[in-house]
Amino acid sequence: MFETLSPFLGQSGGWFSETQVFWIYLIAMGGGFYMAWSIGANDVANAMGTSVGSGALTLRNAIIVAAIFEFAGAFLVGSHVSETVRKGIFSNEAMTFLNEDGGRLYVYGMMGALLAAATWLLTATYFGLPVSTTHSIVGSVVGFGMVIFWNEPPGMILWSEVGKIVLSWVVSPLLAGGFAFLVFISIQKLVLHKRDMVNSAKKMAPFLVFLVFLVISLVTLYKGLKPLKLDWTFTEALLGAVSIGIAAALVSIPLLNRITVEEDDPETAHAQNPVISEDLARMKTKFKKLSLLATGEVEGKLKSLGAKIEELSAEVEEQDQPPAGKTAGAGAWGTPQMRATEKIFIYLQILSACTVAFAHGANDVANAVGPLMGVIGVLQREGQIVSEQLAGHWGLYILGLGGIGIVIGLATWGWRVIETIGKKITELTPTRGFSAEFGAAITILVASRFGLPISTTHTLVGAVLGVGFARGIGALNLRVVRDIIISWVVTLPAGAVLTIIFYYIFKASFG
Amino acid sequence: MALFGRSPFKPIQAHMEKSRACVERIKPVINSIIDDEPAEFDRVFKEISDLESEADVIKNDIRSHLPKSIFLPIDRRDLLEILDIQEELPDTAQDIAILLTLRPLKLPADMKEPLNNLIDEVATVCNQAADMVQEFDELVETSFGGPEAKKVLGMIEQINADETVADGTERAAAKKLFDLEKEVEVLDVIMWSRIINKLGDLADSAERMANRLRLMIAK
Repeated sequence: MFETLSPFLGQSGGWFSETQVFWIYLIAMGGGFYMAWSIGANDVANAMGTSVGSGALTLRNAIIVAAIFEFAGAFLVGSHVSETVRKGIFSNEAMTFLNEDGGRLYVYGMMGALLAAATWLLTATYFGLPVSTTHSIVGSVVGFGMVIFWNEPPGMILWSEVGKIVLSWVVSPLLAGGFAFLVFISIQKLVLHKRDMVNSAKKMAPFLVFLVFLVISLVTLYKGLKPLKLDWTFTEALLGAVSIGIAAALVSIPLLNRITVEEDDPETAHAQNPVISEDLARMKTKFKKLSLLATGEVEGKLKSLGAKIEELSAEVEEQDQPPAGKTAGAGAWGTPQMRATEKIFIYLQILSACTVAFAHGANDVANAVGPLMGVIGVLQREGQIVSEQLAGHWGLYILGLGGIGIVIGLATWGWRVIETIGKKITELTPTRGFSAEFGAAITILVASRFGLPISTTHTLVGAVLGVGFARGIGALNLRVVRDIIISWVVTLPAGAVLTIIFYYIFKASFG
Repeated sequence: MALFGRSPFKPIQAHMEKSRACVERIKPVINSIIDDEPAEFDRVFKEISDLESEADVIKNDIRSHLPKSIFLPIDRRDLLEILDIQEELPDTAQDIAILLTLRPLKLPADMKEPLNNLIDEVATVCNQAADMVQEFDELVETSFGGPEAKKVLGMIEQINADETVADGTERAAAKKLFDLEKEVEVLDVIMWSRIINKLGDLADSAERMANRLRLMIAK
């Protein structure tokens, strides 16, 4: 690789040579694609895990649905946040400064930011640290700004914008928690605390369907459909969204009426306490480890015990599998009334999961394509203007590419994460899942419209905690809050420092 | 990220079932002494000991999965408190069984009926407490409100009422025992009086659990 690069080492002045342009494209596209892949691989599980866990969707259907909505969100609403990542934190003077040398430094910086965020994500994933792609990329872009403008007068980096973004990371989980709390409290008052739960749920469900469709179509229609040459005003968009919402609610009524209360089914009665399969799985790995350490007779005995536990674990898993057409999560507990109510919410939860997938695509695609757009923008205009819109449909192509990257990540690795998460979240019954997802989705969509890059994972965690504070969840581990704060504190400087390193490497290699 | 802790509600129900089984065995274990059936006594005694240690294992497991960072739909201290009181049921049942082994005991025929009445009433109160704990998962599902909460509050009222009845029976049984003090050996009187006390404690524990749960629902 260095042989190919060597003719360009030490070159300075003038525009990039064709080979250099090729390499820049390769690195920027590769970095952007890796980021998109990683978003699809790790984060989509947030949206779909609960639906798979509650048996609302099969794994296959969840992946298809997620792919459609992630792509739609990225393609239709993804541009706002991408613009922020691309140029939102730099002042006009900074842009003029960057244009002076034809955007060279900007190209190095954005490539550095992409590779830094990608490297940090790889490292963090390897060590099992929960980090957000959003925080990585924002930290990296800020780091690149700092290294370029180090010797320049202050005011190049809009610290107020950076502050706004960081503040949004605190506000978004709180806001999502608040929304989720309100949604779940309403479900409590209007459904769970009613004597005839099932019919109350059937009455409330069309309104919830209306709300979900209203939100998702309002965000899409209002300035969202530019790519399709439909630039609607707010009133037009609102009217359109309300009609779509009403239509969806009307369609949902006959579907809801099909759901009936099923009496206790002895077939599902012997499903085991989820604790058992969880602990058996842990014991399986423990025995494996122990038999590696042991020698002689003990080793053999440990191995045979491990094999027995594995057998038992498989048996329990089989028992826990619901018979075809039955749902696991909701079937395991409560009275028949409660189970029928949860069943209604299973369908609502599919809708809210789609909304989360849509919102996630809209917000997170920017982490991958924001810097990429910046680089390509400069290359297209041969270094004339850094901050302008991309020529022709290039912005859309890149958003589409990001969307495809997310879908590939989902298809190659994400399904595995969905499967694991789905098994773990038995606590989140559909009423809870719906409340949390809906609260999170609204927050993420609003943030996306304002161009704020937020962490969808943290927003969803905030929403789940909101449901918890409404006494909705059996046991929540508040230590995640600490983990989230640690991930902020570590990721920002890590992204910044890595970017600075990559920036100097590129500067030295490309001249 | 481990967002979800292990819910303590299913395990606490499992613990209560062990406790219920312990309390149910008090009647056969006492009657095997009265009817002088040592083989039967040994069998039931062992069952009680086993159930008690099984309950212990479950209790420790629940406690070790409830660090301070776990957030529950009810006050964590209330839950630990209810678990502690619940633990008194198998403990006391075992205490009674052990008291029966300390020395050979004789019971005057006239005592048999009042004692068995007391045992039955205590078992009823404890059974109701167990039924109440079995409502925990439904309570969580409805987040401690609505008709489900009302239903459990009704069960709590019933436990309170039946505990009062059991109190009266306890007093009657103790009175009867001391009425017969001429016919019974002094040491036997002491032992039976302690057993009667312990039986009363069981009903007290059940009632205290009910009152704790009332606080949880009222939160």
